[in-house]
Amino acid sequence: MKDIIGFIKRSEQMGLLIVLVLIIVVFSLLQPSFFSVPNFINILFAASLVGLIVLGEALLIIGGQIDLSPGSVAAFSGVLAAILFRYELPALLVMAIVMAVALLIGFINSQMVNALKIEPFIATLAAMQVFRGLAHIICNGSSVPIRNQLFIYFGAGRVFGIPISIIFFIIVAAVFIVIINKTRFGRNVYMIGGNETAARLAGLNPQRIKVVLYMLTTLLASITGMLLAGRMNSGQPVAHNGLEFDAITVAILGGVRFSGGSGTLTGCFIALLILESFKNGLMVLNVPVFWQQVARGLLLVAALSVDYIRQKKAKQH
Amino acid sequence: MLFKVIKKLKEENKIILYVSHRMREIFEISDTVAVLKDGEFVTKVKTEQTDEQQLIRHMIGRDLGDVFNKLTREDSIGEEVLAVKGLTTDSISDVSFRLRRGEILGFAGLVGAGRTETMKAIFGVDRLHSGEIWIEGRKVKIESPADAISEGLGFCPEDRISEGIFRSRSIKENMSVVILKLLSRNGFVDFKREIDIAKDQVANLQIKTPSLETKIIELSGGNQQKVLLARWLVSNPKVLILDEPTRGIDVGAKSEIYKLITELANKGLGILLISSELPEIIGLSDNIIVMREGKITGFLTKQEATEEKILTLAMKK
Repeated sequence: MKDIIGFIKRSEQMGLLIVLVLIIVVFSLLQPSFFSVPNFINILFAASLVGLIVLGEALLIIGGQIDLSPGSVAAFSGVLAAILFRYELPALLVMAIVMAVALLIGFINSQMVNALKIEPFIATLAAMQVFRGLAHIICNGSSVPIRNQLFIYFGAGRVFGIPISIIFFIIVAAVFIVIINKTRFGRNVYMIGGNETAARLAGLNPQRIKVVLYMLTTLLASITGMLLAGRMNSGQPVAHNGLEFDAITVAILGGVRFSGGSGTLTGCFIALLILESFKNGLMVLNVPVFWQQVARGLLLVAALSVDYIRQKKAKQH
Repeated sequence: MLFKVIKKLKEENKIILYVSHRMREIFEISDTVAVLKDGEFVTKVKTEQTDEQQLIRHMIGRDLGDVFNKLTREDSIGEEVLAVKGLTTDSISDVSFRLRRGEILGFAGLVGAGRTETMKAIFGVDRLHSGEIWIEGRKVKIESPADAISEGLGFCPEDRISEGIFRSRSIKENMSVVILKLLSRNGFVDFKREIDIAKDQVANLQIKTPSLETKIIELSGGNQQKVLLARWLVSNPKVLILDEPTRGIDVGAKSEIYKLITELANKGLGILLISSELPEIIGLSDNIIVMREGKITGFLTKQEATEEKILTLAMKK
């Protein structure tokens, strides 16, 4: 029995791996320049920015929550950093301030859910609107240039030819994988997502766990926002549009159940590479940008269908 | 409605297989009854030639009456372990009683009499307007289930599916959730100890499961309930609250749970037992409290208790 369960689990991720290989093969055949180290680094760079949000979003969904604000918070954070640099502040101080603001936003999100009992979807939809708006307001709607060299280095620099944001993402992802699989906190995230009432009756504190999850997610969003701002030498209020939807797509495609209580980050990691290869492939093939959006939507539908089929299969076993 | 459809189908010469553990339904609808036990076929009889007692005998291998008679209660009732004084919440008023070590204190009453609400008040789920809770002669402050647990209380809720189990999680995780803190060092879960403890409980309570990793929702109701009991047993409580512990469970598993409850009391645990089945509450309890409309209306010892007396106290005059 153990072997059978193990096989199903492995085959779940085996399925994702096959899809990933297929996508790479198909795009490489259609456009040989897709299959090159520089392009793979492009894919990984884009993946690292979305990936940071995926980590937070996956944990939130496993915990029975969701956050629609990361894209807006990322844009707001990039613009805020750019504005702070106008005052000639050192890079580390600017980053600390922006991250502190992001933590505060996450705390507010969690309090809307915990104290005001607003549905997570609605509460963070509001935050998404508010911070997209504020991102435009604080810079009068136009992008703000950044000249701080250290800040730009974090966004655009490379170590041994690998962009810093990729390295940073891999380290953070490793930490998150350990947290979710090995720690009591990680287990409790699964438990509150599985059944919040039962969790409370078993002595857990779901509200405290939620505060941590929302704060982590906006913190990661602010880091994503700053990494991209560094790379673009500017804070742009229109950046990261739909970032949270990419992250949610990845999480669901990676096997996180939308109803909460189950999912793995390993699955999400493969799904992240699938999404980013797919996006990159469409770009390399010069598919018009609106068709790219259609294709991404269809990918989400495909992800949900897979989720549905998997559930049905699980019931048969 | 369903029965009408079934009768109509029967007139059309269709064969109906009807699976149920509700005796009344079986006798109302069936022509022939087949009894299965532990995955094996026991017997098949014509419905008109059998009665409830005989069916139960087939289902558990003996009489239900015998089950209660066979429960041996050592005279192990000791000093007071829990006392509540003047407990008042939105739905109960001025509830006071004492529970001694090794005592099974039954709570009888109609649905809505305030029995569950009394337990929720003690366990820190419902807010107290006034009243005191004393444990081992010490006045305690319980403001959340977590507080209650650290004072040595345990609570198996009435609605197993929505308040008890974590359906998407394994039986191992369902068992360890209360004591996970004790099983962790520096926030990291000691998985080996977790498995050992779960193994012990599966053996002790004779839980029928293919593996420790099996999702709890895949087990039968009786085995799910045993997992919930195991969850509290491993936390080594002083007082265990059981709210309708045999609801939705087949007769065979019921008798096992009765035996278990008796054993726990013999070991010195104080037990607060809510049940709406009068034979069950009379058969198991040492003393019985009857409630009506949020108030205690009577106290009966095992010797005094009859179904008639309980019903008189439970219903409005």
